[in-house]
Amino acid sequence: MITLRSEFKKIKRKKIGLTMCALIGVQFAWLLWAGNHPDEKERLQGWIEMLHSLPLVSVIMMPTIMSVLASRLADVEHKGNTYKLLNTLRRPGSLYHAKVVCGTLFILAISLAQFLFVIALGYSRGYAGHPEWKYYTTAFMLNLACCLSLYLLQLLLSMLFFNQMIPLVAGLGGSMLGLILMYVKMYSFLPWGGFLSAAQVNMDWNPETRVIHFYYREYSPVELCAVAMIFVWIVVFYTAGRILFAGKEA
Amino acid sequence: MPTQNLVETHNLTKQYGKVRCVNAVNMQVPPGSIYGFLGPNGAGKSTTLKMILGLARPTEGSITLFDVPVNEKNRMKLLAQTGSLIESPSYYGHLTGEENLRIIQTLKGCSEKDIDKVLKIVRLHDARGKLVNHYSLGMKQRLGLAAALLGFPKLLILDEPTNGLDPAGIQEMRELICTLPSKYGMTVIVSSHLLSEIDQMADHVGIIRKGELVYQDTLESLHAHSKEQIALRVSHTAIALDLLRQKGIEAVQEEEYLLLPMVDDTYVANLCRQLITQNISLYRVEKREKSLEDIFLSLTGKESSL
Amino acid sequence: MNTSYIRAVKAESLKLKRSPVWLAFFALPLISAFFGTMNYRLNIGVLKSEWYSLWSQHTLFLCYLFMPALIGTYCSYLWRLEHTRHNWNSFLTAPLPVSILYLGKLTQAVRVTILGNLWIFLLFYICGKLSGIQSPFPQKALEWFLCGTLGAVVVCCVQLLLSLLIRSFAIPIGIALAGGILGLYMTNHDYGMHYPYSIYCLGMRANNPNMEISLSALIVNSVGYIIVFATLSVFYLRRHEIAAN
Repeated sequence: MITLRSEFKKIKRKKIGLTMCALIGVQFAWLLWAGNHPDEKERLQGWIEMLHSLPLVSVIMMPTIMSVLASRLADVEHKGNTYKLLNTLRRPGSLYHAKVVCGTLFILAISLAQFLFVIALGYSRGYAGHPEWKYYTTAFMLNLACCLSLYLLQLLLSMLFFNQMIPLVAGLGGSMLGLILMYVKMYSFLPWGGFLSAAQVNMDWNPETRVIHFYYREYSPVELCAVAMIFVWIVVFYTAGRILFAGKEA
Repeated sequence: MPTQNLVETHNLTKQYGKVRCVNAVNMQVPPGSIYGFLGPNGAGKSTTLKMILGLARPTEGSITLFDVPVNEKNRMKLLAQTGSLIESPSYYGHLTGEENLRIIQTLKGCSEKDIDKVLKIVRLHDARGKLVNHYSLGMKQRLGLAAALLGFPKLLILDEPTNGLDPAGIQEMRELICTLPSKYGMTVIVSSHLLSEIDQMADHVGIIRKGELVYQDTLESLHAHSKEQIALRVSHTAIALDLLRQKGIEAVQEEEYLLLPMVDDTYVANLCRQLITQNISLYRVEKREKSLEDIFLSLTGKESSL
Repeated sequence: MNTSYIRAVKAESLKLKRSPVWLAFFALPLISAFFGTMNYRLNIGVLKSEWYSLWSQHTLFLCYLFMPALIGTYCSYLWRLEHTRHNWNSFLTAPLPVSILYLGKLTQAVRVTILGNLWIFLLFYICGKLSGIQSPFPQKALEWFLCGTLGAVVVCCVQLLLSLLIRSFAIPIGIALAGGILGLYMTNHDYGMHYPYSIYCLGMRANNPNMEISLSALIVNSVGYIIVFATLSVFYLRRHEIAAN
């Protein structure tokens, strides 16, 4: 608990909250732009369309946001050369756990903001009916889990390497991989593929009538495995972090 | 030898917010000297040195190096003749010691052979190919000194160069610095918060306290301040004091002791005899010396002592 | 002046030894080209414009979303060398004008960007040939390359300024990503030519090789932005006492 509180103190003047708000702001701007239809017929599909856009926005931005967050939290210690110092002050590993919890709280806030914004936006635009809570809740949980798995991976890399270019490039590369895989509709078990695996809405586009139709899809057994993989990654990265940073050296 | 000082500051002042961390400092460093810049931590040593190097801008006052005023126009020319090691050593940890020196050598535009020479001087010749991340703190500090020595500048500014070194390392660094003026004709400004260190290295001393230069002269004159006294402890202090004063001796009482100015041995013998004839018992006769440490503390204030 | 510039560039090159940070500029275009080509070949029925179709597949995501952030990563790395280990002291006591020291950094950023861009075009050529495109390699590609590189230099200048001002490694990269995404919007609404992060994509004709752009506007705006952001950086280096605390 003390370690966690000191973790928040350390980032107090680092403007990380501000950065996160700015990046989330860009997401909002994108969503504002994405689902803005003057046509009432298209607004009928508003809620489901938003659920279609969300994973796309997430796959592009979240991996990088997670790498920025993790690097910001880990780099404080690299710059101050305090890994050794802190490990003498606290039980080894508690520093890692504090960073995990601190980051998780950030992620929770980010995801919550993302979904509340979408819901508020939908109502203010007068989308027909209400959001389908079953799908929205699932989407929220899976989005959260995906972010968490990526954050744990990035934290691992950021704490491991002094050169922060390595984790940041990994974040960018992963982001790109995830996006392209989504673009070519290829499911994968990679951590960055999670957003796509978790997506619940598919789209049909009729080139002749130029009408887009969104529909909820059922997970096939392979896709279910891919979704389950998100949680496997969480466990893997967390365990790796524990093993690496609960040891004597960090 | 030129009469002008190599480094001179005039009313040098640096203000952060409302605090004047350096206040009207007039530093004078004669050429060829080792100028010990002494003061407790946070007295303004680093800030003063940074202003001389142009890393911080003076709020007021001016600086001349080599008789040339320090300004934007002259800065490059002056930096080319100056080597410095400020605060902790600068280094690129993913590179070897030699590669680090090569970077500085390239920037300074001095001869490549200098790298070899300075590596030998600081005795890092064997560790030249090792990554600096794997250096000990003392080795990093020596690497910093080597970098400052590149190009064999006329002026060397070293800020707390013995910080973080072990006793052997301190000794080594000290000996190294002492040889620089005679061997390479350098003038050295070296700061420290330890009087003993300056005492063993410097020939000129400037003492800074809360941003003000409270003392500046040769080390010899500082030593001259340390005066010797005779201390007496007797059975009847008050009577003895009266007696001494009647004889025209400027004695003062300090706790149980009477302090007399230094006098020769026969005079002391006479005094003792007279005290005894007055039935005053004599317990102690001691020679006292006011140490350099006492002078330093009285100049810098006891509250900010080390 | 000339020799001091060469010295500054050489010193910066020495600093970059032993850290293969350029690998990122190798890897990301490779991923993009691989999947871009794959998608092109899978959809060859729809994508009929041969080289032009392939080009849009290669560059769409890379140029808009990832190159600005990648350049940002490199710029952050360049300044991080000085932001850590008390290196500002030695950097700023080098007997070279700060403008030259800055140009040393900019040169490194521009160099790796040019190489990255060349690599993108090389991959484009190789993938096109491997995919059996019969028509000749578009001559316009040279223009795309030159315009794109100029636009990339603008990004270099912006990111160097940000990474100089912000000591954090990661935050300027976050800004670059956001900047790139906003660029999608800006380009869509015809503000692209005035928006630093978009000029690169416009120059590269990313996504749309048939796009008509005004060359003079691109050159004037790019040079203008380069001068503005470079001047701001040098001004900051000169006026702000970075090494004072």
